[in-house]
Amino acid sequence: MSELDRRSLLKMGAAAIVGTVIGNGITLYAAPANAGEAAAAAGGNALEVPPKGKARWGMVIDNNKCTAQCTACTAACRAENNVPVFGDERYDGHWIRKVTLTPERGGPEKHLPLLCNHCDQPPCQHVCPVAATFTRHDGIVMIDKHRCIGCRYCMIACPYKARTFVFKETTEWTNKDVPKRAHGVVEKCTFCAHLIDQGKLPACVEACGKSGEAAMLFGDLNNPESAIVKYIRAVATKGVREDLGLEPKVFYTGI
Amino acid sequence: MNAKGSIAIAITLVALIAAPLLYTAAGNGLFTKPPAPQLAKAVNATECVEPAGWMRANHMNLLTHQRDLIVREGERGRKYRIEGCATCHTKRAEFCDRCHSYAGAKPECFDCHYLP
Ligand code: HEC
Ligand code: HEC
Repeated sequence: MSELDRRSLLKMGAAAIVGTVIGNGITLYAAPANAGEAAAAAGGNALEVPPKGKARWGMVIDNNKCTAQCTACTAACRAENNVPVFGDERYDGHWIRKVTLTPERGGPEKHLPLLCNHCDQPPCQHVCPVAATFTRHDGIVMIDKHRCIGCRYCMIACPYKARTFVFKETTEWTNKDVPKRAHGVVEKCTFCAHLIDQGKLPACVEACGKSGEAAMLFGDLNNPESAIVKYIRAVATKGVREDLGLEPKVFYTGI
Repeated sequence: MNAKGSIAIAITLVALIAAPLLYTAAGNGLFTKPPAPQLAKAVNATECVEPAGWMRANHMNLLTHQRDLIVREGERGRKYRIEGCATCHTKRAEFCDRCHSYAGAKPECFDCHYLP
């Protein structure tokens, strides 16, 4: 059974338990579990890292809480990963950015943070001619910048526009422990793989819990006991452009 | 013209062409071995992560090999992270860079990795 099947099954199961199906695809859910509280219960900044090859990292973003003005996640990402802002949008890098969705049929605008979805079927990886983009043992899609030749096929393949090209190198080091990028490679979110390997949460998730709206939840999708799996089981979540069948690992509620 | 004559002309020509070249080469110190680079002393330790002679010859392979393990396999916490060299070799300009320019090696690592 593919992961997608299992997920939809889980959702159906969750609906049966906590929700009542009122009619034609409308489901009434019990009050959503609180993503932030679940993160706090999971032990603040600590992350339980299973042995190599066992984890499958994923993220839930509760968009009912995320507000338009808050930039906690984007600012934290820039500081952690040396992602520059030059004040010129042709050069600025973005690993996570706030996008505004305007529903076609009217209704309130939605503001959500969009980042690399670390797809299980990453189109960026499939088009990479030099195998610079690869999937790590824990499902994180990463770019080996030592290999990247800057052809930008991956940027065209990515439906989330999660990747940016380094047109201009930054000269500032906000975090000296993390490498910056040289001109001519493509960069994107790594789920803060360097922090995960140390058993820490990604910078955006931590910032969202501390100074943001506590709308992000991060954890191991393979572990049935993890807060994120419990949350996904209890609350209806949706991936952005799930219809493309790329099986993204960033789930949203309220979009 | 006989054979002797043409040899003499050839030798004269070669000497004429070579003389200025040799003169400038000597002026630029091409015939003297350049002085070995003065490398800054490492701090906090008396021994490198591996014996110094081995490091001198093999650190490039070590770093590139570990790089692939760290980046692609996620095996962090390795002994020889490139940023880790800085705990003891605190002055890159007077250690790594000095030797690299002496040896004509141009590692691009420091475009992205911070070594003070
Ligand atoms: C624990 C401290 C320490 C760390 C970490 C360290 N070194 Fe060293 N290194 C030394 C010391 C001390 C020496 C001098 C040893 C000697 O002369 O016997 C040295 C010598 C060397 C030499 C030989 C220099 C010469 O005189 O020719 C090279 C090359 C070298 N280190 C490279 C590296 C690299 C590359 C790294 C990072 C992977 C590194 N070192 C990390 C302490 C360290
Ligand atoms: C004793 C002289 C010497 C010192 C000191 C030295 N290097 Fe090197 N290094 C070399 C030479 C020679 C090469 C080139 C090898 C080649 O091109 O085949 C090299 C190559 C490298 C490479 C591989 C580059 C590539 O493109 O594959 C890395 C990485 C490197 N050095 C890092 C360091 C770091 C970091 C330090 C300081 C901690 C350092 N080196 C100090 C001599 C030295």
